[in-house]
Amino acid sequence: MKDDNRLITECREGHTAAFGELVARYQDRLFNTVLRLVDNAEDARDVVQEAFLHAYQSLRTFKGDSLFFTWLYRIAFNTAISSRRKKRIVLSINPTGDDGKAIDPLDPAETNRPGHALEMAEEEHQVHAALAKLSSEHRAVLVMKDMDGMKYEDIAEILGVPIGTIRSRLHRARLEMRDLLQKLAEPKDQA
Amino acid sequence: MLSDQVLQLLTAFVDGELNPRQREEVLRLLNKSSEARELVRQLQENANKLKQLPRRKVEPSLVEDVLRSIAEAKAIPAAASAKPKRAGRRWMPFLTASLAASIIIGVLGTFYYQSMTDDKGDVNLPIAKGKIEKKPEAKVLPEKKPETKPTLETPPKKATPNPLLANLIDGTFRDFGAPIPVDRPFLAQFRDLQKEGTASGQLAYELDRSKAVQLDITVKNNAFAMDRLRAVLLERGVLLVSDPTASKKLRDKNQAKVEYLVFAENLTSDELAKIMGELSQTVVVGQKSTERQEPSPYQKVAVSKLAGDDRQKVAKLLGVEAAMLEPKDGKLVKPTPTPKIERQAVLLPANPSAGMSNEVRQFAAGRQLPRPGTLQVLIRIHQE
Repeated sequence: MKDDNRLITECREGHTAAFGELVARYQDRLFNTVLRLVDNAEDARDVVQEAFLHAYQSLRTFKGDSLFFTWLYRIAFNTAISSRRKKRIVLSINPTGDDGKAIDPLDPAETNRPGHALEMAEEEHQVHAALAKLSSEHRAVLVMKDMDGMKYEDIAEILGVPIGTIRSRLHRARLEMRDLLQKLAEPKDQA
Repeated sequence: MLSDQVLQLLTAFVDGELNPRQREEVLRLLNKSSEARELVRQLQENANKLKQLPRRKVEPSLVEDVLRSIAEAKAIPAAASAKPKRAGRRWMPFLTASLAASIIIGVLGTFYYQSMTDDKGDVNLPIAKGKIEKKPEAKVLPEKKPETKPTLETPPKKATPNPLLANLIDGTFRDFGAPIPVDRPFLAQFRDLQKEGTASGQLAYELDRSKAVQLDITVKNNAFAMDRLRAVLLERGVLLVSDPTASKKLRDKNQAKVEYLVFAENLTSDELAKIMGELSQTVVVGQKSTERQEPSPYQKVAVSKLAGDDRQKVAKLLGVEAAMLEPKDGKLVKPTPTPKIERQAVLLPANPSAGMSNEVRQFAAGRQLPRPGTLQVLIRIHQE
């Protein structure tokens, strides 16, 4: 498998197919992150597609100081933000997260355990609902940290803010998320 | 009540963004403060929920769509050479560029303003400041933190809140360590568990993370170690029921290398941590005239989550369905205040040669259902 830099060089030499390989490599990862930022699969798909297009157009500006994915992620994040501004999306989240048509679980075998699907759906619903109530800043750092496993410095680079800001945003986001999840779980406990 | 600085540290701990020294300090704090332990548990649980959100794949793949849109837009990586060829409206690109520039300046300005205002909030906290001392913000610090005691000799910016915090926040925050490995077993020497400290704090913390754990313990002498475990469990109100085959093997000096399993449940993580601490202590053996001190036979312990395969093995040894051994979800319960013998553990041979004994059958039949908030533990004991 060719590494990212090799593919990028080929893209710059005019081999569009090399960019296709990069898309195939990162589309799912990017889609999953964007899905939690824009809230529905259709918008997420559009944002990811647009982000790849922007990335291709700006490939010359990629200097390799950071990982390609980090750079791509920054483009996708900015695209998601501008997409939300354009559409003036109020953060209302469909509890299932999507219409279920465009996306499938990556590992269907995991859902085979009896009761697992129901538990996961319930938990996903709660996490999704809690995420929806967070500000976009808090939501973004949580998604980047927990879903993408990024380091503070990578998140700081993507968002263009100091590491201290990321630290305090994550801190507040985690406490807020805890309170929200507790509130969401309360009716179930009392029932 | 945990201060905001400590809360931030605990968050960074959950994020795996502390250096080893800070991590040790936090573990010490976790050992002392149940409030901190509970908070870390909750934050980790929530982080795991996010991590475990189902990953989806884009279907149909975006590759074709992206390549098509590249072709349609005639997008070329060398963007400068990709000038749109339009007959009229030559002013359009300039207008668009001007508008875009204005928007970008506006957006950047907004972001800059927001990030600056964020930063202001952040740098008021020592944790966010790291080694950078900013005099204007230092004015705010004493107002927010009444515990700091500025003196005549000491300017406010050098005031130290307390030794623990000072250790935690003394400017090493920019030196982040590697993420904390999640699934790697925690290893400890029993001699390090003799005193309360980092190792015992970390053990308590590791035990608190799961509902079912496996302790892989190396001992110097199986029989001696089992006697100690039996005595220590009994002090905590847990009767160790022994499978006769296992007991027989324990007495057989030719069977020194046999591995034994002890299965117990309805123990709290605190209790289990204390049991480990007690097992690490020197023991007085013998009668009055022959009384002497013996070092603990316990050498080292590896803590990991109880894996599905091991649960199935225990279930098979006990003659019950594996589902019957599933631990229960729920909030922590208080440990039993008095050491009444109301719980049982069972000693099992790791590789049984005969059928199930009456003792084991009775243990399985008399098992209490796992109580929410307690631990199941499978202890594997083997001689080094």
